[in-house]
Amino acid sequence: MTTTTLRIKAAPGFRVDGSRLQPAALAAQSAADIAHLLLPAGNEVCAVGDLFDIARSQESDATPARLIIEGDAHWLDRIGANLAEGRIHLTGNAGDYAALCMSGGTLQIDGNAGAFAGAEMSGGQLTIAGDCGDFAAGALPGDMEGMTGGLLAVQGNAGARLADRMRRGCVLVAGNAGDFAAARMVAGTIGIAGQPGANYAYGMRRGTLLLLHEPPRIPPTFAAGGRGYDVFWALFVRTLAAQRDTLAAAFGSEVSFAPFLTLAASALPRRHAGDLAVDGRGELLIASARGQPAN
Amino acid sequence: MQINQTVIDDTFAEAFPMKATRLVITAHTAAWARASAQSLTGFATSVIDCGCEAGIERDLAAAETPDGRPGISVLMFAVSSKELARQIARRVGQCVLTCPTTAVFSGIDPATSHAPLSDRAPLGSALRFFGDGWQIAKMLGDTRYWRVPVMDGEFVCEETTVTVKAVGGGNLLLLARDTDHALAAAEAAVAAMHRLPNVITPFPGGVVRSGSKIGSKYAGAIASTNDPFCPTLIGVAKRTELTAEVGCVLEIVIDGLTDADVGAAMTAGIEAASRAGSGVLRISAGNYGGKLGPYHFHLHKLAATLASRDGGAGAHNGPAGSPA
Repeated sequence: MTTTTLRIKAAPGFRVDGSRLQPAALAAQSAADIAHLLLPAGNEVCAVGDLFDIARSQESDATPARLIIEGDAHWLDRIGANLAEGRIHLTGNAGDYAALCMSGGTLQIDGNAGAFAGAEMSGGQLTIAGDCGDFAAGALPGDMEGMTGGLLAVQGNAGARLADRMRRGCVLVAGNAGDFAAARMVAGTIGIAGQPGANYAYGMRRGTLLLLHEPPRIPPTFAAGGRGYDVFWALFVRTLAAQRDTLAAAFGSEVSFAPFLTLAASALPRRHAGDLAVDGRGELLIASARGQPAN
Repeated sequence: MQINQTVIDDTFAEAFPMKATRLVITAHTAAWARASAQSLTGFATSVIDCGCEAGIERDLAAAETPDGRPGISVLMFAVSSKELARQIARRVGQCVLTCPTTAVFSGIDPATSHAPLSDRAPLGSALRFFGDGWQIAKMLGDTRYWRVPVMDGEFVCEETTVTVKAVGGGNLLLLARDTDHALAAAEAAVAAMHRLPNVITPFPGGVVRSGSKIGSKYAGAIASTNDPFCPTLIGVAKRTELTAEVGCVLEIVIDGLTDADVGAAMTAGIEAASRAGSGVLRISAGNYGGKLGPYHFHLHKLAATLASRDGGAGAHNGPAGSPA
């Protein structure tokens, strides 16, 4: 395994596109070549060597290439964009569009992420220890599909329009979500341990929105009731529990996500079906984090 | 070769490649899982006229199933992927979808399968249309499920089931003194085989009396009675494999996911049927000269593993062995 470490010298004062910082590609280059790598910055370009101190280390194990970015990179957009393999670990904050269209590998952000984190990702794991901005796991403006696969785990709060037009994959938020969470959702799984904002599940066609606290209000276009989904629920809680190791590895401990991981198959959640204004085959599951029946 | 009083013929069983799948059926109680499995594996004795050969492999404890409910595993074998897919769709649609509280899952893990993988046969992807638009697909992890609303709740099934290249037609012929001994030995052999994984014995109770040969005097019949082993035809048929003291012959047919599984089941069957006092005079096997099927299970080789395992006790090559 080759580990490339980029230590931020100073914030450049303008935004930089970090999509070229791909672990596998960097592993194949020498430190000097990496220093000369040009990153787009608006209408300009800037060299990696001007922004970062570069260090390399080589280990004999066969794990995928790794890129570590040390420092606060809130000015660095598109980090991990189109990532297909390898691991990126960002020890500080990330800019916008982190893991945009990512299809594999892992991006671990120890700080906060900006807007559009995990937008249109189709695979891999994006873990954010802090908060994330608006449109996480969503679709770019004008696009029909948001996230279509993989895992997005946010330990803090998520911004507005979480998982807008999401089609597949899993989003877990240990904190609260902003307005219009799960709006226009086509399918997939979203879990929010805290509270969702206003107009959550607006225009939700299919998919599952799991809430671990009673929300202030149920959307009027959702129908209460329904029984007989215990087999699905048993499979669902097992799938969530299977994320334990992944979350523990990314966050040091899975304790923030424990409410998702310890749901009991025997404690059926309350179910609301909707959004009846559209397809209406989505489901809002309200479960108790303590493993007790919510109804 | 002889084990106790039973002579092991120097012959072999000839088996054929088949396509197979394992389905895991779960239900609210083990009894309903079994009811569904029995229905699904009914009328599935022979590919000659049933479309597939199917049987119950074993009961599964709640801890072993994908949804944590009691379950049962079923193996289905057919001559082609296409026919297997058709039989899965028909049988699951009529016998699992219909059965109270059941859910059905693909039972072969591609990562650990010893049998070569074939393809994926539709499971829920065909049955979902029963939902009339109310059905929902759900991707959990890497597995896609269908949730079809039914009157007791939801019928949950995996979208596809993994199929493998398997082995069908392993067999043992038990030549016994009389009907009582033949039945007892066959039952013991079937019970011994069912303690092993990855195999089924598709005939009623695991045993078949109408062993067949290829062809017939009648045009259009592809198989007919195995006259050399019919005790009423001793001295009448042109060729008989029986001696005067044989009163009853029963056959056990074994389908397994790999040739090793079939071989292990046949070995267990030989051991059970050749116990002292079993009344089984000879154990033989059916083959077609070795030209049709690629898998040959030589009885002496299988019995030799018994002898070596038991330190040679019971089994010996005596002058009575190798009758041919």
